[in-house]
Amino acid sequence: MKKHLFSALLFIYGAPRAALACDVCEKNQPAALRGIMHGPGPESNLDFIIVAAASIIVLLTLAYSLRYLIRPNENGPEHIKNIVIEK
Amino acid sequence: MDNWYLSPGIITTSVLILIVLIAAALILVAQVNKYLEKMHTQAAKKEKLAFSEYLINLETAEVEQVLEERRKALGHRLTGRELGSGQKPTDQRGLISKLSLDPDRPFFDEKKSLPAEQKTSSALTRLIMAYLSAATFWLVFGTLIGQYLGMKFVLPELDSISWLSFGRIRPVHTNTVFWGWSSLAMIGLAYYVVTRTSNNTIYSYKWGWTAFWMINGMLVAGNLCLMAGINNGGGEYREYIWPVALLFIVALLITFFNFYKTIASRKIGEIYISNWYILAGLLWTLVLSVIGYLPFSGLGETVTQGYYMHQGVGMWFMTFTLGLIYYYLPTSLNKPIYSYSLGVLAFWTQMLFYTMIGTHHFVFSPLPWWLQTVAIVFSAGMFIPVVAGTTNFLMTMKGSWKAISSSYVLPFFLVGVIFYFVGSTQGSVQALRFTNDLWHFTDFNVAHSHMTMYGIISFILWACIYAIVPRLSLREPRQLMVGMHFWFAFIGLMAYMISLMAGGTLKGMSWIEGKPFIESVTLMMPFWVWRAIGGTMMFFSHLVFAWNIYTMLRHLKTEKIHANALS
Repeated sequence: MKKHLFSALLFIYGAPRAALACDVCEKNQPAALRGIMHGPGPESNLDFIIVAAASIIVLLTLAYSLRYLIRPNENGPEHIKNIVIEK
Repeated sequence: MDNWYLSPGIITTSVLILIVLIAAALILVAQVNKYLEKMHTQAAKKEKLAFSEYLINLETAEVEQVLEERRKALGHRLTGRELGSGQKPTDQRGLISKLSLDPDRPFFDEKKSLPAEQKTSSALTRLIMAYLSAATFWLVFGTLIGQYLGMKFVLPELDSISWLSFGRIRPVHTNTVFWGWSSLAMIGLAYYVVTRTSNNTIYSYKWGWTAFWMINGMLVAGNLCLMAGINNGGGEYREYIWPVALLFIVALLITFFNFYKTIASRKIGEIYISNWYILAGLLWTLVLSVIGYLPFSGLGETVTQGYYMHQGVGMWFMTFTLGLIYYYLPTSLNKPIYSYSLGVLAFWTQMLFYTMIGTHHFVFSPLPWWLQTVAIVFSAGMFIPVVAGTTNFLMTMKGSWKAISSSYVLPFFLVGVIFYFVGSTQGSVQALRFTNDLWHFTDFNVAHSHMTMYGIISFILWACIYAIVPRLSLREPRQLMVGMHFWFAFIGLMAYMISLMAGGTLKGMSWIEGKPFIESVTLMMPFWVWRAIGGTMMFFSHLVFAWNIYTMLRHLKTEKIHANALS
């Protein structure tokens, strides 16, 4: 489900560019991003490492968001969030 | 084009608008419910009155009889043995754990602590009020200009004065509401947050006042320059020339150090999350303003504009306002934020993702592949903090829905939070292939920018202002006037947005069909009339808001005179 959602979101952002991707750009892009992106392709393996790192960060964010949303576990009265309360 | 309304972009946008309308309907039901309850109370009062009248209409003898019966009833005394308790009290089951022999105050040993507002020094109150009053002034002025611009769409022959030409006063409208209204209100509200959550006095009032005058000075000088035709070229939202904008940059620098010093010498252990957002927003905007005014040319200039415009919204207005929500929303409900950790996660996501996604405006450009791809990945990733943030705020409000009918702060927060989700999502939906083709360069984008800058930022700022000003001035605005402000702003915004979205769609379709350009202009006429009507309602709501602020401030002045007289 998470993966599907992620692909759908990626599509939303990539879609308008697909309409404009020309043949040369198609050739420059890696197979997975063909039709999604325009412009020059990756220049070295370092490019893939950077993008992979960004993707891992996004997935980690998703995992942590769900964790903190489902169970914040901040019940202690001494927690900093309680400073807004007026007794 | 036959089934254009079945395109995913159009369907999603319609659903998003529906969400806002449902929320409005819920608020309305809550308000009507409250009104009905009030009517019920009034009916009870009437019944009481009718009984009094019945008594008045009685003959003297009848009244005497009634009074005699009453006298007897009042004279009746309990013997203390009605419940049959002649026996000695014993606690056979050990139910009583504490026995007090001091019956005067068995439950109220502790006095309620003083309300927070009384702890706010008059120097800080004055500073905050100055920022908020100036913000209110610029809101009225900026939207008056917007109102005039809206009328020009319907009546282009309205004037022929160069200083009032569309091209010159359009940036006056946008810059005034951005830097005058939103920015001043944000900084003013932050002064309270920073001092309260650090349990400290502000580092330097003098710096606070200097920044205040510098920002206002920039607005006066900048607007005069713009109207005289002196501007920074086509750089949208940075039309003020650099010597004028420098005043704002220096003011931000001073404000940053003022907040930083206050937080650094705080009297509690941790730094509350709001301060993270506030300091980061200031720091990022400093970087942004400097880069925005560096003299690039050609493609560099275009890339800078995209970066400046995109980050301006995300790193200044949204980051700062999120910081304010994390303080003012829980304070208004008097309960902590649902998930503090999520706020911290959203902070880092905002910092990291938003910095990188400005590049998604340049996916067609010769920028490096990794930069473009990372922008796409993080753009998709931005959905996470938006959805999680919205859920976090709604979960904080959970259990307090009943308070919406009895609070004038919460409806503003609710609408702001819902627009936070709807506006952020709509931006992405606009990037879909068909919708992008249809809506780009039409009035649809004007509707979108009002949905975000007005629906999110302004509604949340109003919520915060109504939460804090009555506490500082010890005078609440009239409920009816706050209700008028809310409904006129909300209905006006909806009329404004829906008319421009509908008109923008038709305009886009006429372009796709290759019809003459002038047709797309004439077809907009009825939609521009509705835009002017919606805009007028929004402007009227600002006048009501300004009146509410005035009534609260007037009281503050009277209080001060009284205090001086007493001392």
